[in-house]
Amino acid sequence: MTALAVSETSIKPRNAWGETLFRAACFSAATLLMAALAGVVISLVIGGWPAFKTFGFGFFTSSEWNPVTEVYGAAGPIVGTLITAFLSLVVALPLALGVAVFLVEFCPKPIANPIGVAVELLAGIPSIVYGMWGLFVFAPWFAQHVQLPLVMNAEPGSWMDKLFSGVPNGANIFTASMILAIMILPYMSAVFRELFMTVPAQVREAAYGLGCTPFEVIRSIIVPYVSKGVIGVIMLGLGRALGETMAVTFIIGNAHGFPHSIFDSGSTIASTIANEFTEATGEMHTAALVALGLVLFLITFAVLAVARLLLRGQKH
Amino acid sequence: MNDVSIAAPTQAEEQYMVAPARENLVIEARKLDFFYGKNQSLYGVDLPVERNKITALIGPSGCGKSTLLRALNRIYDLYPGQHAVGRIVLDGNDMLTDRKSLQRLRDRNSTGATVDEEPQASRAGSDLTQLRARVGMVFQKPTPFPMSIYDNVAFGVKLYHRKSKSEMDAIVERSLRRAALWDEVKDKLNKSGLGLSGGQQQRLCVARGIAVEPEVLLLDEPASALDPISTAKLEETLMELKRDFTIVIVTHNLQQAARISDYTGFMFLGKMIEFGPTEDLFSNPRAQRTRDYVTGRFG
Repeated sequence: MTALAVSETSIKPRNAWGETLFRAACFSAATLLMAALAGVVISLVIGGWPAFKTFGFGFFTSSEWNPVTEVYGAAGPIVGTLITAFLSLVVALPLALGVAVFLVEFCPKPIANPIGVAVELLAGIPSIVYGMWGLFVFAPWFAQHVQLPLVMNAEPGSWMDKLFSGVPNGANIFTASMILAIMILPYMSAVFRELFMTVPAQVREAAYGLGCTPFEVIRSIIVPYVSKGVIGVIMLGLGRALGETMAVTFIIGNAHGFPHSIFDSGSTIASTIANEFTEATGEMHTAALVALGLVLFLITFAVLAVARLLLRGQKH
Repeated sequence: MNDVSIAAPTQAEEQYMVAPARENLVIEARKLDFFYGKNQSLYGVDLPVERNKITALIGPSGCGKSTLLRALNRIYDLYPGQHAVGRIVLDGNDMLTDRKSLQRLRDRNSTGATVDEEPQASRAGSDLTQLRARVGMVFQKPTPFPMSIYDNVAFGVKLYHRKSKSEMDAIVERSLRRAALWDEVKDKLNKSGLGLSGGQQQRLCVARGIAVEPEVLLLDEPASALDPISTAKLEETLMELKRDFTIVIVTHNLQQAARISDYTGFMFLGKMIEFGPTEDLFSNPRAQRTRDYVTGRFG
């Protein structure tokens, strides 16, 4: 009985001070993050304010971007950003799903893991490397073997002509999107693979046990099982494509103004900022670029918010 | 209490088998060896399963009960490196080695009597997938699919048959009734199956398994994750189901085996030590090891 009783002296003295300090440290870490975020938003708003004030809503709708006359309309980069991100996602998503499904369901075990690791390594290649490869290898090849034949064979005025017109140098919206797709592909595949591996083996076995083919198991069981995560991965990929700078800057052609076809040169918000910030001497030019930054921030924020919203509806 | 030394069974180890009459068997394992890669985990196991009876498999952990069960519907085929040698005979057809037999089984399945009208076009790899549809399986942990209760039950049926809405409704209701779940879920058929309690989920899995009218239903410790009340309900369900199906159940719960099964097989270190009518095996075990196990001296 006495063995269980706790005597006063046996209580280990605790350092209340350390506890308080620990709490304070955690709290300030969190606060610091929020403060940094708020600081970024505030400085973007302040820095971009002159542009918003001068051009008003026209900043979003006009595609005239002219540092000489100091007229700035951001429709070109905004549309370019959305189109490249969307196109790259359309290309990368089915491929990423395919890679992940192959690795998890069909690939012989001994080589599945090395391939999985290789995919993860691919995801870590710096974007400037992709950009260089895109500019020196992919763009010329694409211009020669895809763009030129398509343009040559299009009847003037036909839908093909409209869709594919542009200088056949390979530096355009479409090639930029493809480079983006190649960049986000390993990233998305790697996360999809992790995701698919979280499906309990017994659930898969139960589906096979009912007489499902592998395709039916994937379509009806595995993908729905991780549907939350799938949306999350799509949004992550989209976020990455939206903000990607270097590779796109290399290859998109960096033309302001509205792209007229998918083979037209264009620009994205990130590429515009990267290209012009060092040369932005005028106050209004800088303000316009900062305003662009704010727009990109808001787009990315909106993507994440929509993802959250979708996920909330997904709860089982 | 646990001081009985457990040695690997030797060649000379006593094995006793009181098998049901051959013409009453629906599925049967004969001299079955099973390998996980190079590790052998079943040694010449015989398992005769009589139609419309409950056959229980008991034995200490790792003795190969689950492995044997997983061999019966060839679910192990999903994992490269696992393979079985011997025979597994379903309705007189060896489904382990003989492709022609698989073909025959499949053809019979698509013209069979139960719920068929219009079998869908032939499916890729269908020999094996159709075989699995004839030998249903329920796992230790409930495995509802991420879809509504209704769709969970309809899922397997849809794979093989085109059904009108009303026909499918009838199948779903019938299956849920037979699994003793209908009254609890009839008002929320469109809710997700993942929202049910553990016991309900398990009975949902049973309903899903029997909706495709398999000949044999395999259950791998179906009650081990359930509370006593859910377990009792599940047992009741199984007793009802044996009128229409043949059931093989792996269980760690000796009382459960004694309560519900007609035949019991006691396995130990990959061998079938004793197989016979449940009453005999529990009241009058012949092998020393069986006696030790059912009286609680080891295991």
